[in-house]
Amino acid sequence: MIRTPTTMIVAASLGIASSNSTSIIRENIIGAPSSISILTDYSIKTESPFLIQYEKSETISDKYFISEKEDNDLIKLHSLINSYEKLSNDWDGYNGVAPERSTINATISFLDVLMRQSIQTPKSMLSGSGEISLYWDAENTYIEIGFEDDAHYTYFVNNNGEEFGKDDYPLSESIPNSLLKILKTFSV
Amino acid sequence: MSEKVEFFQTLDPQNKCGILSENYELSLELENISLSDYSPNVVRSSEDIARMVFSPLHIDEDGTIKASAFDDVRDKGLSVHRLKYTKSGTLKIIGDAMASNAVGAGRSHRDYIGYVKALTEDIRKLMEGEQRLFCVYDTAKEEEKSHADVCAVLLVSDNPNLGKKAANKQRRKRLQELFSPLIKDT
Repeated sequence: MIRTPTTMIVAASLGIASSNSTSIIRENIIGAPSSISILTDYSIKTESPFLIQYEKSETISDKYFISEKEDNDLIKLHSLINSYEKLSNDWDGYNGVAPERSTINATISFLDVLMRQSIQTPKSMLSGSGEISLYWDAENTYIEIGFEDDAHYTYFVNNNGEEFGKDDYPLSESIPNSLLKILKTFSV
Repeated sequence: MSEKVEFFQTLDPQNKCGILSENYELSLELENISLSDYSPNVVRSSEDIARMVFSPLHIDEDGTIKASAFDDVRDKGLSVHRLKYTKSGTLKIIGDAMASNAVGAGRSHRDYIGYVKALTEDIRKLMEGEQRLFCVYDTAKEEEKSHADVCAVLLVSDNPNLGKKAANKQRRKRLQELFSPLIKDT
């Protein structure tokens, strides 16, 4: 597949692909490379309650700046989060609603910021209210960052019993140092 | 019907837990009253309760239920079933019926994939300081006498570092930790 020059520049600035990579479909470059959304047309097959499998519409080059496992985890996560838009009302059996496209974009953008900080790929979860959350859950540390709209996020941290958080923190602001410090304990 | 029961039954179903959280003492009292004409009796702390699961999005790869599956505790109420009052296979019948009803109502197909369970006593023991975080109410329905609801009755936190929304994340995480991995109901 042929990549456009714009795609190559974007990919290089994010440090996730080399000139040998095949095309990654992108849209809506919404500002500086720090704010790029990666949108791909993944479809989802659900084969068991425990594992959602994905059809990748791209392949990854043999030269990347993160590990192959991280690369695969990230692609799966992007696919999963993008798939939330396709959910129908009552997707959870309890009148759950799908998140807005703008919320999905905001989550993906934030995820990309984390990736550039070499933060380990989180897991994601979805509430019936349409809130998307990214989370890391280790033995003594739990971090959850939730997106209800395209401009803010709410985070909660439990680090060895010490708890803190913030409601509706602006996405336009830098990640708070207290949160970033804990996130970096999940570095790649 | 007592005044308290009437109060409960007339709560906005989309926010009954939110309203109850503003009436903490009453919220605790209501646990000791059967809140439904179809009720077998109040939910005992010794009972296991089950949350039915219809979406694989709520289940992690290792079968653990995710915290987001408990978000309803803050407003609508977490709909659960009392296993003591469900005969073998009843949950599956209820779950399959709910899934079929969704299709009949024009919503997309979904499957009942199983349930996660927890001990009521463990839920009632969750505290912040001297205050309880959750109540478990007997909300039996005519066709589902085993039905109950879990509500968060303390939505704010004494911790000045936790706003209401962050506290809600903490609450549902604590609740999630009490529930079993997914039990596939066959």
